[in-house]
Amino acid sequence: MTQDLAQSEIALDHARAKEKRSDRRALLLRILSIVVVLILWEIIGRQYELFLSYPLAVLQAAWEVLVVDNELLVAFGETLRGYAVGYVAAMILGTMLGYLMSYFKVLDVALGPYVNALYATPRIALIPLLVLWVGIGFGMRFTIVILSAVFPIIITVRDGARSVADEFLDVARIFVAGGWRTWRTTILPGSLPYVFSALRIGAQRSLIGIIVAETLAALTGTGRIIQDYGQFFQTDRLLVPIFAIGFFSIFMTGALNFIQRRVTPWERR
Amino acid sequence: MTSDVNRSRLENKTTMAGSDDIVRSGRTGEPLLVVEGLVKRFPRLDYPVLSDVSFEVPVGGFTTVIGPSGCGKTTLLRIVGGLENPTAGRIIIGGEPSVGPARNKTMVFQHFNLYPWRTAIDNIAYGLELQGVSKEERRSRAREYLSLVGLDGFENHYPGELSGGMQQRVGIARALAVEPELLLMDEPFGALDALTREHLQTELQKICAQASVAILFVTHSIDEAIYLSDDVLVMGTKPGRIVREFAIDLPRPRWTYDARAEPTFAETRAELWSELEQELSDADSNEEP
Repeated sequence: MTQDLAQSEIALDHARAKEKRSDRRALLLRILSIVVVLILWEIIGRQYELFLSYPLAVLQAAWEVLVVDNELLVAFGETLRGYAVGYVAAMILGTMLGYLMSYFKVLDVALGPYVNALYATPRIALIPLLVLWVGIGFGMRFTIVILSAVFPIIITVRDGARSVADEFLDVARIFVAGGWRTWRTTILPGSLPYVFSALRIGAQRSLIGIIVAETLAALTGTGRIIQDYGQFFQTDRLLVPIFAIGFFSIFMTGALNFIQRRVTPWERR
Repeated sequence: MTSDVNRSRLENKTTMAGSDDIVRSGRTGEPLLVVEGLVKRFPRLDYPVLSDVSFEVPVGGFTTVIGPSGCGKTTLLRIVGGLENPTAGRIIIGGEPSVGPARNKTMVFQHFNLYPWRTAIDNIAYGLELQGVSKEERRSRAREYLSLVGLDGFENHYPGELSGGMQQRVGIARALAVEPELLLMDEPFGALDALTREHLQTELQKICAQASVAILFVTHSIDEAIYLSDDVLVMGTKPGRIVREFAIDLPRPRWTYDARAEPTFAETRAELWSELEQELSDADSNEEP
Protein backbone atom coordinates (compact mmCIF):
# COMPACT_ATOMS: atom_id res chain seq x y z
CA MET A 1 0.00 0.00 0.00
CA THR A 2 2.70 2.45 1.01
CA GLN A 3 4.51 1.59 -2.17
CA ASP A 4 1.31 2.26 -4.04
CA LEU A 5 1.04 5.69 -2.49
CA ALA A 6 4.67 6.52 -3.14
CA GLN A 7 4.29 5.53 -6.78
CA SER A 8 1.23 7.66 -7.30
CA GLU A 9 3.13 10.61 -5.84
CA ILE A 10 6.07 10.02 -8.12
CA ALA A 11 3.78 9.77 -11.13
CA LEU A 12 2.19 13.07 -10.17
CA ASP A 13 5.55 14.73 -9.89
CA HIS A 14 6.63 13.42 -13.29
CA ALA A 15 3.45 14.70 -14.86
CA ARG A 16 4.06 18.16 -13.40
CA ALA A 17 7.68 18.26 -14.59
CA LYS A 18 6.59 17.25 -18.07
CA GLU A 19 3.95 19.95 -18.06
CA LYS A 20 6.56 22.58 -17.18
CA ARG A 21 8.84 21.45 -20.00
CA SER A 22 6.07 21.65 -22.58
CA ASP A 23 5.08 25.06 -21.15
CA ARG A 24 8.57 26.37 -21.80
CA ARG A 25 8.59 25.03 -25.34
CA ALA A 26 5.23 26.65 -26.08
CA LEU A 27 6.49 29.99 -24.78
CA LEU A 28 9.56 29.83 -27.00
CA LEU A 29 7.45 29.06 -30.03
CA ARG A 30 5.15 31.96 -29.26
CA ILE A 31 8.04 34.44 -29.01
CA LEU A 32 9.49 33.17 -32.26
CA SER A 33 6.15 33.57 -34.00
CA ILE A 34 5.82 37.17 -32.80
CA VAL A 35 9.35 38.06 -33.97
CA VAL A 36 8.73 36.62 -37.45
CA VAL A 37 5.46 38.50 -37.85
CA LEU A 38 7.04 41.77 -36.71
CA ILE A 39 9.87 41.42 -39.23
CA LEU A 40 7.49 40.61 -42.07
CA TRP A 41 5.28 43.55 -41.12
CA GLU A 42 8.30 45.89 -41.06
CA ILE A 43 9.33 44.82 -44.58
CA ILE A 44 5.89 44.82 -46.18
CA GLY A 45 4.59 47.80 -44.19
CA ARG A 46 7.30 50.08 -45.54
CA GLN A 47 5.90 49.47 -49.07
CA TYR A 48 2.32 50.34 -48.06
CA GLU A 49 2.80 52.93 -45.39
CA LEU A 50 -0.67 54.47 -45.53
CA PHE A 51 -2.48 51.16 -45.19
CA LEU A 52 -0.24 49.16 -42.92
CA SER A 53 2.39 51.44 -41.41
CA TYR A 54 5.26 49.45 -39.84
CA PRO A 55 6.46 48.55 -36.35
CA LEU A 56 9.19 51.18 -36.00
CA ALA A 57 6.86 53.97 -37.16
CA VAL A 58 4.20 52.79 -34.73
CA LEU A 59 6.76 52.79 -31.94
CA GLN A 60 7.75 56.34 -32.75
CA ALA A 61 4.10 57.38 -32.91
CA ALA A 62 3.57 55.73 -29.55
CA TRP A 63 6.38 57.81 -28.07
CA GLU A 64 4.78 60.97 -29.49
CA VAL A 65 1.20 60.38 -28.38
CA LEU A 66 2.07 58.89 -25.03
CA VAL A 67 4.99 61.01 -23.86
CA VAL A 68 5.37 64.12 -26.02
CA ASP A 69 1.69 65.05 -26.54
CA ASN A 70 0.34 63.05 -23.63
CA GLU A 71 -3.08 63.03 -25.32
CA LEU A 72 -3.46 59.26 -25.37
CA LEU A 73 -2.89 58.83 -21.66
CA VAL A 74 -5.58 61.41 -20.93
CA ALA A 75 -7.96 59.57 -23.25
CA PHE A 76 -7.08 56.20 -21.69
CA GLY A 77 -7.63 57.60 -18.24
CA GLU A 78 -11.08 58.74 -19.15
CA THR A 79 -12.03 55.43 -20.75
CA LEU A 80 -10.54 53.45 -17.90
CA ARG A 81 -12.45 55.34 -15.24
CA GLY A 82 -15.82 54.55 -16.81
CA TYR A 83 -14.71 51.01 -17.54
CA ALA A 84 -13.41 50.22 -14.06
CA VAL A 85 -16.39 51.63 -12.17
CA GLY A 86 -18.89 50.05 -14.58
CA TYR A 87 -17.17 46.68 -14.63
CA VAL A 88 -16.94 46.40 -10.86
CA ALA A 89 -20.61 47.33 -10.58
CA ALA A 90 -21.57 44.80 -13.28
CA MET A 91 -19.44 42.16 -11.59
CA ILE A 92 -21.17 42.59 -8.22
CA LEU A 93 -24.66 43.05 -9.63
CA GLY A 94 -24.36 40.27 -12.21
CA THR A 95 -22.90 37.68 -9.86
CA MET A 96 -25.45 38.42 -7.16
CA LEU A 97 -28.41 38.34 -9.54
CA GLY A 98 -27.07 35.19 -11.20
CA TYR A 99 -26.90 33.33 -7.90
CA LEU A 100 -30.21 34.69 -6.68
CA MET A 101 -31.93 33.66 -9.90
CA SER A 102 -30.46 30.19 -9.71
CA TYR A 103 -31.61 29.82 -6.11
CA PHE A 104 -35.03 31.45 -6.14
CA LYS A 105 -37.17 30.17 -8.92
CA VAL A 106 -39.62 33.07 -8.50
CA LEU A 107 -36.90 35.57 -9.28
CA ASP A 108 -35.80 33.61 -12.32
CA VAL A 109 -39.32 33.48 -13.69
CA ALA A 110 -39.88 37.19 -13.01
CA LEU A 111 -36.57 38.55 -14.29
CA GLY A 112 -35.66 35.89 -16.85
CA PRO A 113 -37.51 37.45 -19.81
CA TYR A 114 -35.80 40.85 -19.36
CA VAL A 115 -32.38 39.32 -18.90
CA ASN A 116 -32.75 37.07 -21.91
CA ALA A 117 -34.20 39.83 -24.11
CA LEU A 118 -31.50 42.34 -23.19
CA TYR A 119 -28.83 39.68 -23.59
CA ALA A 120 -30.05 38.98 -27.10
CA THR A 121 -30.29 42.68 -28.09
CA PRO A 122 -27.03 44.23 -29.24
CA ARG A 123 -26.54 46.76 -26.44
CA ILE A 124 -24.76 49.03 -28.92
CA ALA A 125 -28.15 49.78 -30.45
CA LEU A 126 -29.07 51.47 -27.18
CA ILE A 127 -26.32 54.08 -27.44
CA PRO A 128 -28.48 56.86 -29.00
CA LEU A 129 -31.02 56.31 -26.25
CA LEU A 130 -28.31 56.46 -23.61
CA VAL A 131 -27.03 59.77 -25.02
CA LEU A 132 -30.51 61.10 -24.48
CA TRP A 133 -30.70 59.78 -20.93
CA VAL A 134 -27.24 60.19 -19.47
CA GLY A 135 -25.32 62.40 -21.92
CA ILE A 136 -21.97 61.64 -23.46
CA GLY A 137 -19.60 61.73 -20.48
CA PHE A 138 -18.85 59.41 -17.60
CA GLY A 139 -22.51 58.50 -17.20
CA MET A 140 -22.71 56.99 -20.64
CA ARG A 141 -19.46 55.07 -20.29
CA PHE A 142 -20.56 53.69 -16.96
CA THR A 143 -23.99 52.72 -18.27
CA ILE A 144 -22.82 51.08 -21.47
CA VAL A 145 -20.23 49.04 -19.57
CA ILE A 146 -22.84 47.76 -17.14
CA LEU A 147 -25.30 46.98 -19.91
CA SER A 148 -22.62 45.17 -21.91
CA ALA A 149 -21.27 43.09 -19.06
CA VAL A 150 -24.10 42.41 -16.67
CA PHE A 151 -26.32 40.14 -18.79
CA PRO A 152 -23.72 37.62 -19.89
CA ILE A 153 -22.49 37.56 -16.28
CA ILE A 154 -25.99 36.93 -14.89
CA ILE A 155 -26.69 34.15 -17.38
CA THR A 156 -23.35 32.40 -17.01
CA VAL A 157 -23.37 32.53 -13.21
CA ARG A 158 -26.97 31.34 -13.06
CA ASP A 159 -26.31 28.41 -15.37
CA GLY A 160 -23.08 27.61 -13.54
CA ALA A 161 -24.81 27.50 -10.17
CA ARG A 162 -27.47 25.22 -11.63
CA SER A 163 -24.90 22.91 -13.13
CA VAL A 164 -23.40 21.93 -9.77
CA ALA A 165 -23.76 18.15 -9.82
CA ASP A 166 -26.51 16.41 -7.84
CA GLU A 167 -23.90 14.13 -6.36
CA PHE A 168 -22.36 17.10 -4.53
CA LEU A 169 -25.76 18.33 -3.39
CA ASP A 170 -26.43 14.81 -2.04
CA VAL A 171 -23.33 15.15 0.14
CA ALA A 172 -24.53 18.47 1.54
CA ARG A 173 -27.93 16.97 2.24
CA ILE A 174 -26.69 13.78 3.88
CA PHE A 175 -24.58 15.88 6.26
CA VAL A 176 -27.65 18.02 6.99
CA ALA A 177 -26.52 21.34 5.52
CA GLY A 178 -29.17 24.07 5.46
CA GLY A 179 -29.83 26.35 2.50
CA TRP A 180 -27.18 28.96 3.22
CA ARG A 181 -24.49 26.40 4.07
CA THR A 182 -25.30 24.30 1.02
CA TRP A 183 -24.76 27.41 -1.05
CA ARG A 184 -21.52 28.40 0.67
CA THR A 185 -19.90 24.95 0.84
CA THR A 186 -21.22 23.35 -2.33
CA ILE A 187 -22.85 25.61 -4.90
CA LEU A 188 -20.38 28.50 -4.59
CA PRO A 189 -17.14 26.50 -4.92
CA GLY A 190 -18.73 24.19 -7.48
CA SER A 191 -19.67 27.11 -9.73
CA LEU A 192 -16.50 29.22 -9.35
CA PRO A 193 -15.10 28.21 -12.75
CA TYR A 194 -18.29 29.54 -14.30
CA VAL A 195 -18.02 32.77 -12.35
CA PHE A 196 -14.58 33.37 -13.78
CA SER A 197 -15.78 32.57 -17.29
CA ALA A 198 -18.58 35.06 -16.69
CA LEU A 199 -16.13 37.74 -15.54
CA ARG A 200 -13.88 37.17 -18.56
CA ILE A 201 -16.80 37.41 -20.97
CA GLY A 202 -18.02 40.51 -19.13
CA ALA A 203 -14.59 42.15 -19.32
CA GLN A 204 -14.43 41.66 -23.07
CA ARG A 205 -18.00 42.68 -23.81
CA SER A 206 -17.77 45.86 -21.80
CA LEU A 207 -14.50 46.83 -23.48
CA ILE A 208 -16.20 46.50 -26.85
CA GLY A 209 -19.17 48.45 -25.54
CA ILE A 210 -17.19 51.39 -24.20
CA ILE A 211 -14.94 51.77 -27.27
CA VAL A 212 -17.90 51.65 -29.66
CA ALA A 213 -19.82 54.13 -27.53
CA GLU A 214 -16.89 56.55 -27.51
CA THR A 215 -16.38 56.15 -31.24
CA LEU A 216 -20.02 56.90 -31.95
CA ALA A 217 -20.97 59.50 -29.40
CA ALA A 218 -18.17 60.84 -27.21
CA LEU A 219 -16.02 63.94 -27.55
CA THR A 220 -13.15 62.42 -25.63
CA GLY A 221 -11.75 58.99 -24.75
CA THR A 222 -9.91 56.23 -26.54
CA GLY A 223 -12.66 55.49 -29.05
CA ARG A 224 -12.82 59.15 -30.05
CA ILE A 225 -9.07 59.31 -30.54
CA ILE A 226 -9.08 56.26 -32.79
CA GLN A 227 -11.76 57.91 -34.85
CA ASP A 228 -9.75 61.16 -35.10
CA TYR A 229 -6.49 59.50 -36.12
CA GLY A 230 -8.38 57.51 -38.73
CA GLN A 231 -9.96 60.58 -40.23
CA PHE A 232 -6.57 62.23 -40.60
CA PHE A 233 -4.99 59.08 -42.11
CA GLN A 234 -2.46 58.88 -39.29
CA THR A 235 -2.13 55.13 -39.61
CA ASP A 236 0.90 54.84 -37.33
CA ARG A 237 -0.82 56.81 -34.57
CA LEU A 238 -4.11 55.01 -35.13
CA LEU A 239 -2.46 51.69 -34.39
CA VAL A 240 -1.18 52.80 -30.96
CA PRO A 241 -4.55 52.90 -29.14
CA ILE A 242 -5.66 49.78 -31.02
CA PHE A 243 -2.67 47.88 -29.69
CA ALA A 244 -3.17 49.40 -26.28
CA ILE A 245 -6.75 48.15 -26.18
CA GLY A 246 -5.59 44.72 -27.29
CA PHE A 247 -2.93 44.60 -24.60
CA PHE A 248 -5.39 45.81 -22.00
CA SER A 249 -7.86 43.07 -22.96
CA ILE A 250 -5.11 40.46 -22.74
CA PHE A 251 -4.09 41.91 -19.38
CA MET A 252 -7.65 41.66 -18.04
CA THR A 253 -8.01 38.05 -19.16
CA GLY A 254 -4.58 37.22 -17.75
CA ALA A 255 -5.33 38.88 -14.43
CA LEU A 256 -8.60 36.99 -14.13
CA ASN A 257 -6.85 33.73 -15.03
CA PHE A 258 -4.23 34.45 -12.39
CA ILE A 259 -6.85 35.12 -9.72
CA GLN A 260 -8.78 32.04 -10.79
CA ARG A 261 -5.72 29.82 -10.38
CA ARG A 262 -5.22 31.28 -6.92
CA VAL A 263 -8.82 30.88 -5.88
CA THR A 264 -9.33 27.41 -7.37
CA PRO A 265 -6.06 25.57 -6.73
CA TRP A 266 -7.77 22.18 -7.17
CA GLU A 267 -8.30 22.93 -10.86
CA ARG A 268 -4.57 22.74 -11.60
CA ARG A 269 -4.25 20.30 -14.44
CA MET B 1 -8.05 9.24 23.02
CA THR B 2 -11.13 7.76 21.40
CA SER B 3 -8.97 5.67 19.11
CA ASP B 4 -7.30 4.15 22.17
CA VAL B 5 -10.64 3.07 23.50
CA ASN B 6 -11.59 1.67 20.13
CA ARG B 7 -8.34 -0.18 19.79
CA SER B 8 -8.74 -1.87 23.15
CA ARG B 9 -12.22 -2.90 22.15
CA LEU B 10 -10.78 -4.33 18.96
CA GLU B 11 -8.17 -6.30 20.88
CA ASN B 12 -10.86 -7.67 23.16
CA LYS B 13 -12.77 -8.90 20.24
CA THR B 14 -9.79 -10.58 18.68
CA THR B 15 -8.81 -12.40 21.82
CA MET B 16 -12.36 -13.53 22.34
CA ALA B 17 -12.45 -14.90 18.82
CA GLY B 18 -9.29 -16.78 19.61
CA SER B 19 -10.80 -18.43 22.68
CA ASP B 20 -13.29 -21.28 22.55
CA ASP B 21 -16.23 -18.89 22.32
CA ILE B 22 -16.47 -17.79 18.69
CA VAL B 23 -17.60 -14.22 18.17
CA ARG B 24 -19.72 -13.91 15.06
CA SER B 25 -20.04 -10.21 14.89
CA GLY B 26 -20.18 -6.98 16.84
CA ARG B 27 -23.95 -6.94 16.84
CA THR B 28 -26.24 -7.28 19.79
CA GLY B 29 -29.87 -8.31 19.71
CA GLU B 30 -31.69 -4.97 19.65
CA PRO B 31 -32.41 -3.37 16.29
CA LEU B 32 -30.85 -0.03 15.40
CA LEU B 33 -32.63 0.38 12.10
CA VAL B 34 -36.16 -0.80 11.48
CA VAL B 35 -37.60 -0.47 8.01
CA GLU B 36 -41.35 -0.97 8.02
CA GLY B 37 -43.54 -1.60 4.99
CA LEU B 38 -41.60 0.69 2.67
CA VAL B 39 -43.28 1.46 -0.63
CA LYS B 40 -41.89 3.72 -3.33
CA ARG B 41 -43.74 4.63 -6.46
CA PHE B 42 -42.53 6.92 -9.18
CA PRO B 43 -45.00 8.78 -11.37
CA ARG B 44 -45.39 7.23 -14.82
CA LEU B 45 -44.23 3.81 -13.60
CA ASP B 46 -47.09 1.32 -13.28
CA TYR B 47 -45.37 -0.94 -10.74
CA PRO B 48 -43.85 0.18 -7.44
CA VAL B 49 -40.04 0.42 -7.33
CA LEU B 50 -40.22 -0.86 -3.76
CA SER B 51 -43.11 -2.93 -2.53
CA ASP B 52 -43.61 -3.53 1.18
CA VAL B 53 -39.95 -3.77 2.14
CA SER B 54 -39.39 -4.55 5.81
CA PHE B 55 -36.23 -5.57 7.66
CA GLU B 56 -34.06 -4.74 10.64
CA VAL B 57 -30.39 -3.97 11.12
CA PRO B 58 -29.14 -4.70 14.65
CA VAL B 59 -26.84 -2.37 16.59
CA GLY B 60 -23.33 -2.87 15.24
CA GLY B 61 -24.64 -5.23 12.56
CA PHE B 62 -23.62 -5.49 8.93
CA THR B 63 -26.52 -6.09 6.57
CA THR B 64 -26.14 -6.24 2.81
CA VAL B 65 -28.82 -5.78 0.20
CA ILE B 66 -28.09 -7.64 -3.01
CA GLY B 67 -30.13 -7.87 -6.16
CA PRO B 68 -30.17 -7.47 -9.93
CA SER B 69 -29.69 -3.95 -11.25
CA GLY B 70 -32.87 -1.93 -11.31
CA CYS B 71 -34.35 -3.76 -8.31
CA GLY B 72 -34.49 -0.53 -6.31
CA LYS B 73 -31.69 -1.22 -3.86
CA THR B 74 -30.11 2.20 -4.35
CA THR B 75 -33.53 3.82 -3.99
CA LEU B 76 -34.00 1.86 -0.77
CA LEU B 77 -30.69 3.15 0.56
CA ARG B 78 -31.46 6.74 -0.43
CA ILE B 79 -34.83 6.55 1.34
CA VAL B 80 -33.20 5.22 4.51
CA GLY B 81 -30.64 8.04 4.21
CA GLY B 82 -33.42 10.60 3.87
CA LEU B 83 -32.38 11.73 0.39
CA GLU B 84 -35.71 10.55 -1.00
CA ASN B 85 -39.17 10.24 0.50
CA PRO B 86 -41.04 6.94 0.63
CA THR B 87 -44.55 6.71 -0.78
CA ALA B 88 -45.51 4.71 2.30
CA GLY B 89 -43.81 3.04 5.23
CA ARG B 90 -41.52 4.11 8.05
CA ILE B 91 -37.84 4.32 8.86
CA ILE B 92 -37.05 3.97 12.56
CA ILE B 93 -33.55 4.54 13.88
CA GLY B 94 -32.77 3.93 17.54
CA GLY B 95 -36.48 3.76 18.32
CA GLU B 96 -37.26 7.14 16.75
CA PRO B 97 -38.93 7.68 13.37
CA SER B 98 -36.35 9.12 10.99
CA VAL B 99 -37.55 11.45 8.26
CA GLY B 100 -35.07 13.23 6.02
CA PRO B 101 -31.32 13.41 6.58
CA ALA B 102 -30.09 13.28 10.18
CA ARG B 103 -26.84 13.40 12.08
CA ASN B 104 -26.99 9.77 13.18
CA LYS B 105 -26.72 8.40 9.65
CA THR B 106 -24.32 9.06 6.80
CA MET B 107 -23.59 7.63 3.40
CA VAL B 108 -20.66 6.43 1.33
CA PHE B 109 -21.35 6.88 -2.37
CA GLN B 110 -20.49 4.70 -5.34
CA HIS B 111 -18.68 7.50 -7.12
CA PHE B 112 -17.12 8.83 -3.90
CA ASN B 113 -18.70 12.30 -4.37
CA LEU B 114 -15.74 14.01 -2.77
CA TYR B 115 -15.63 17.78 -3.10
CA PRO B 116 -12.85 18.43 -5.61
CA TRP B 117 -12.30 21.86 -4.02
CA ARG B 118 -11.47 20.42 -0.62
CA THR B 119 -8.31 18.61 0.36
CA ALA B 120 -8.56 15.10 1.79
CA ILE B 121 -8.56 16.37 5.37
CA ASP B 122 -11.14 19.09 4.66
CA ASN B 123 -13.37 16.58 2.91
CA ILE B 124 -13.22 14.36 5.98
CA ALA B 125 -13.93 17.33 8.25
CA TYR B 126 -16.94 18.45 6.18
CA GLY B 127 -19.62 16.84 8.32
CA LEU B 128 -17.98 18.11 11.51
CA GLU B 129 -17.80 21.60 10.05
CA LEU B 130 -21.55 21.56 9.41
CA GLN B 131 -22.11 20.44 12.99
CA GLY B 132 -20.26 23.51 14.20
CA VAL B 133 -17.27 21.66 15.65
CA SER B 134 -14.39 24.10 16.24
CA LYS B 135 -11.68 24.23 13.61
CA GLU B 136 -8.98 22.75 15.83
CA GLU B 137 -11.09 19.89 17.05
CA ARG B 138 -12.39 18.94 13.64
CA ARG B 139 -8.86 19.00 12.25
CA SER B 140 -7.60 16.63 14.89
CA ARG B 141 -10.62 14.36 14.58
CA ALA B 142 -10.37 14.35 10.80
CA ARG B 143 -6.69 13.46 11.08
CA GLU B 144 -7.59 10.51 13.30
CA TYR B 145 -9.97 9.16 10.69
CA LEU B 146 -7.50 9.89 7.92
CA SER B 147 -5.03 7.63 9.62
CA LEU B 148 -7.74 5.07 10.41
CA VAL B 149 -8.26 4.62 6.66
CA GLY B 150 -4.49 4.49 6.09
CA LEU B 151 -3.97 7.82 4.37
CA ASP B 152 -1.40 9.42 6.68
CA GLY B 153 0.59 12.02 4.78
CA PHE B 154 -2.14 12.70 2.23
CA GLU B 155 -4.17 15.25 4.16
CA ASN B 156 -3.36 18.12 1.82
CA HIS B 157 -3.98 16.25 -1.40
CA TYR B 158 -6.96 17.18 -3.50
CA PRO B 159 -9.22 14.30 -4.62
CA GLY B 160 -7.96 14.79 -8.18
CA GLU B 161 -4.51 13.85 -6.96
CA LEU B 162 -5.65 10.57 -5.37
CA SER B 163 -6.36 7.17 -6.92
CA GLY B 164 -9.90 5.79 -6.90
CA GLY B 165 -9.18 3.53 -3.96
CA MET B 166 -7.70 6.38 -1.96
CA GLN B 167 -10.65 8.60 -2.80
CA GLN B 168 -13.06 6.05 -1.45
CA ARG B 169 -10.97 5.76 1.72
CA VAL B 170 -11.52 9.49 2.13
CA GLY B 171 -15.24 8.91 1.46
CA ILE B 172 -15.37 6.32 4.21
CA ALA B 173 -13.44 8.52 6.64
CA ARG B 174 -15.72 11.47 5.88
CA ALA B 175 -18.78 9.36 6.70
CA LEU B 176 -17.26 7.91 9.88
CA ALA B 177 -15.85 11.19 11.20
CA VAL B 178 -19.27 12.37 12.36
CA GLU B 179 -19.54 9.13 14.35
CA PRO B 180 -22.89 7.99 12.98
CA GLU B 181 -24.87 5.09 14.36
CA LEU B 182 -25.78 3.95 10.89
CA LEU B 183 -23.55 3.96 7.83
CA LEU B 184 -25.15 3.53 4.42
CA MET B 185 -22.88 2.27 1.67
CA ASP B 186 -24.08 2.38 -1.92
CA GLU B 187 -21.90 0.00 -3.94
CA PRO B 188 -18.88 1.75 -2.46
CA PHE B 189 -16.36 -0.47 -4.21
CA GLY B 190 -18.27 -0.81 -7.47
CA ALA B 191 -16.17 1.75 -9.32
CA LEU B 192 -12.84 0.23 -8.24
CA ASP B 193 -10.66 -2.42 -9.85
CA ALA B 194 -10.83 -5.97 -8.51
CA LEU B 195 -7.60 -5.84 -6.52
CA THR B 196 -8.32 -2.54 -4.79
CA ARG B 197 -11.80 -3.78 -4.16
CA GLU B 198 -10.73 -6.90 -2.26
CA HIS B 199 -8.15 -4.92 -0.38
CA LEU B 200 -10.71 -2.35 0.73
CA GLN B 201 -13.17 -5.06 1.76
CA THR B 202 -10.64 -6.27 4.30
CA GLU B 203 -9.83 -2.71 5.33
CA LEU B 204 -13.51 -1.97 5.83
CA GLN B 205 -13.84 -4.92 8.21
CA LYS B 206 -10.89 -3.71 10.23
CA ILE B 207 -12.33 -0.20 10.33
CA CYS B 208 -15.75 -1.52 11.39
CA ALA B 209 -14.13 -3.45 14.21
CA GLN B 210 -12.79 -0.14 15.54
CA ALA B 211 -15.74 2.14 14.91
CA SER B 212 -18.93 0.83 16.42
CA VAL B 213 -21.37 1.48 13.63
CA ALA B 214 -24.15 -0.49 11.97
CA ILE B 215 -23.81 -0.79 8.22
CA LEU B 216 -26.41 -1.15 5.51
CA PHE B 217 -24.50 -2.08 2.39
CA VAL B 218 -25.67 -2.33 -1.20
CA THR B 219 -23.81 -4.38 -3.78
CA HIS B 220 -24.31 -6.70 -6.69
CA SER B 221 -21.27 -8.78 -5.91
CA ILE B 222 -22.18 -12.04 -4.18
CA ASP B 223 -18.67 -12.62 -2.83
CA GLU B 224 -18.53 -9.13 -1.37
CA ALA B 225 -21.90 -9.63 0.30
CA ILE B 226 -20.90 -12.92 1.92
CA TYR B 227 -17.43 -11.82 2.93
CA LEU B 228 -18.61 -8.64 4.66
CA SER B 229 -22.05 -9.31 6.09
CA ASP B 230 -23.85 -10.76 9.05
CA ASP B 231 -27.07 -10.81 7.05
CA VAL B 232 -27.73 -10.70 3.33
CA LEU B 233 -31.09 -9.61 1.95
CA VAL B 234 -31.81 -10.76 -1.58
CA MET B 235 -34.04 -8.41 -3.53
CA GLY B 236 -36.25 -9.23 -6.47
CA THR B 237 -37.22 -6.77 -9.16
CA LYS B 238 -40.45 -5.29 -10.56
CA PRO B 239 -41.61 -4.68 -7.93
CA GLY B 240 -38.52 -4.41 -5.74
CA ARG B 241 -39.01 -6.57 -2.67
CA ILE B 242 -37.04 -8.77 -0.34
CA VAL B 243 -37.30 -12.39 -1.44
CA ARG B 244 -34.97 -14.05 1.03
CA GLU B 245 -32.70 -13.44 3.99
CA PHE B 246 -29.43 -15.22 4.62
CA ALA B 247 -27.47 -15.24 7.86
CA ILE B 248 -23.76 -15.64 7.17
CA ASP B 249 -22.16 -18.04 9.65
CA LEU B 250 -18.53 -17.19 9.22
CA PRO B 251 -16.55 -16.38 12.37
CA ARG B 252 -15.12 -12.88 12.72
CA PRO B 253 -12.66 -11.35 12.26
CA ARG B 254 -12.65 -12.77 8.76
CA TRP B 255 -9.36 -11.27 7.61
CA THR B 256 -7.42 -13.50 9.99
CA TYR B 257 -8.16 -16.63 7.95
CA ASP B 258 -9.09 -17.37 4.38
CA ALA B 259 -12.82 -16.86 4.79
CA ARG B 260 -13.42 -17.10 1.05
CA ALA B 261 -12.05 -20.65 1.07
CA GLU B 262 -14.40 -21.91 3.81
CA PRO B 263 -16.99 -24.54 2.85
CA THR B 264 -19.71 -22.32 4.38
CA PHE B 265 -18.68 -19.55 2.00
CA ALA B 266 -19.05 -21.78 -1.05
CA GLU B 267 -22.38 -23.19 0.13
CA THR B 268 -23.85 -19.76 0.80
CA ARG B 269 -22.49 -18.58 -2.50
CA ALA B 270 -24.25 -21.40 -4.38
CA GLU B 271 -27.52 -20.76 -2.58
CA LEU B 272 -27.36 -17.04 -3.21
CA TRP B 273 -26.56 -17.66 -6.85
CA SER B 274 -29.57 -19.85 -7.44
CA GLU B 275 -31.78 -17.33 -5.67
CA LEU B 276 -30.47 -14.47 -7.80
CA GLU B 277 -30.60 -16.52 -10.98
CA GLN B 278 -34.26 -17.16 -10.29
CA GLU B 279 -34.78 -13.43 -9.89
CA LEU B 280 -32.91 -12.66 -13.09
CA SER B 281 -34.92 -15.13 -15.18
CA ASP B 282 -38.13 -13.80 -13.64
CA ALA B 283 -37.06 -10.32 -14.57
CA ASP B 284 -36.35 -11.43 -18.13
CA SER B 285 -39.70 -13.12 -18.56
CA ASN B 286 -41.40 -10.00 -17.17
CA GLU B 287 -39.72 -7.82 -19.72
CA GLU B 288 -42.08 -6.28 -22.20
CA PRO B 289 -41.52 -7.12 -25.87
